Amino acid sequence: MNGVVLLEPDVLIDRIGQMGKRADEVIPDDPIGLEARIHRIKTLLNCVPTPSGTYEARRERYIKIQGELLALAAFGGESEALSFAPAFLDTYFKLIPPEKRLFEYKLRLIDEV
Amino acid sequence: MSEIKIKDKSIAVPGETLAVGMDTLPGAGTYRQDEKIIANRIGLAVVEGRTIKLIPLSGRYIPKTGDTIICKVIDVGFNGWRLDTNSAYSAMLPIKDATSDFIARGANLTQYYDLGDYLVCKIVNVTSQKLIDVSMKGPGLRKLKGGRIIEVDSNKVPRIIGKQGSMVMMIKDAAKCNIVVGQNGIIWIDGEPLNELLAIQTIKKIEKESHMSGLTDKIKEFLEKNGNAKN
Repeated sequence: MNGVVLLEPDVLIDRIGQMGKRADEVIPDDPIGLEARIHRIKTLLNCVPTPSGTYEARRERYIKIQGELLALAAFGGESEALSFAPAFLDTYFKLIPPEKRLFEYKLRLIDEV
Repeated sequence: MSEIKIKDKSIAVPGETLAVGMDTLPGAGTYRQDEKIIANRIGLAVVEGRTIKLIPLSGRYIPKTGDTIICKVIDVGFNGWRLDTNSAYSAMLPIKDATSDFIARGANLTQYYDLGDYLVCKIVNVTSQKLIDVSMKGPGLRKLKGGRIIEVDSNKVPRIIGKQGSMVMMIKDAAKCNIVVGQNGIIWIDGEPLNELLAIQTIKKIEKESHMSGLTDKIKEFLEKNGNAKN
């Protein structure tokens, strides 16, 4: 398991929403371009691995999508990132099994302290 | 599986457990504490798919970009007007966003908008420090003349407006008044005194009974019953 903390969809949406309130900061340009990043996220959301895969693989996949959405928001695509919220919610329930959700939630809390 | 502890559209109070389990996510007005989802304000609990959220029943207005609000001029400066937004934060209306007229340097700004005037304006920016910029450029944005102003709970404004403006249209038709509803809970009503009174009574009734179902029919009945007496 890598060191990145898994964010539940409600927490991720909240963080993206907070980024949308930046008014006095200069937002950097996305090195790969917003369109390319949006396409990358769509591909990741459409190709969710089967539940038979190992938990580490599924978690890694989820973290990757989470990272791409945060990057999209950081580069000024907050509203585009929020438009993926329903699909991301589905992905969370598909990839993260019920018995691991509480564990991941507690890991996030520890990380925030 | 998550266990939902509350009926859909029932009233929840702060601290009340709405659901237990990790299959449900906390939405607006709720938070997670381990496996529990708990209400953090008073409101109607709504289950939307796998999310539980609260529709607030009370609370002060929080300014949001894009909201059309009714403000009162509280200060006139060199470069614009300061407005009371009926929230914890005041707004700034800069000269460039106030009018399309040319305003010479040092002109008396009170000839446009004076202290105590009410304006319909749109929030164009809210910074993280809650500095609010408003604009008067847009359809329907203007200074309000005549009529009367009433204040309602801003959380009840969607109910007063109704689906696609159906409720406020019904009041306008029955009371024969011009009505402008600001999303900050300030409402302007202009008409004959008795008609204005009917509109105010209707709006106050909606505010009082906003959490009840079948409200449109009740209001229709109320307007039919009281409208004839005043027309």
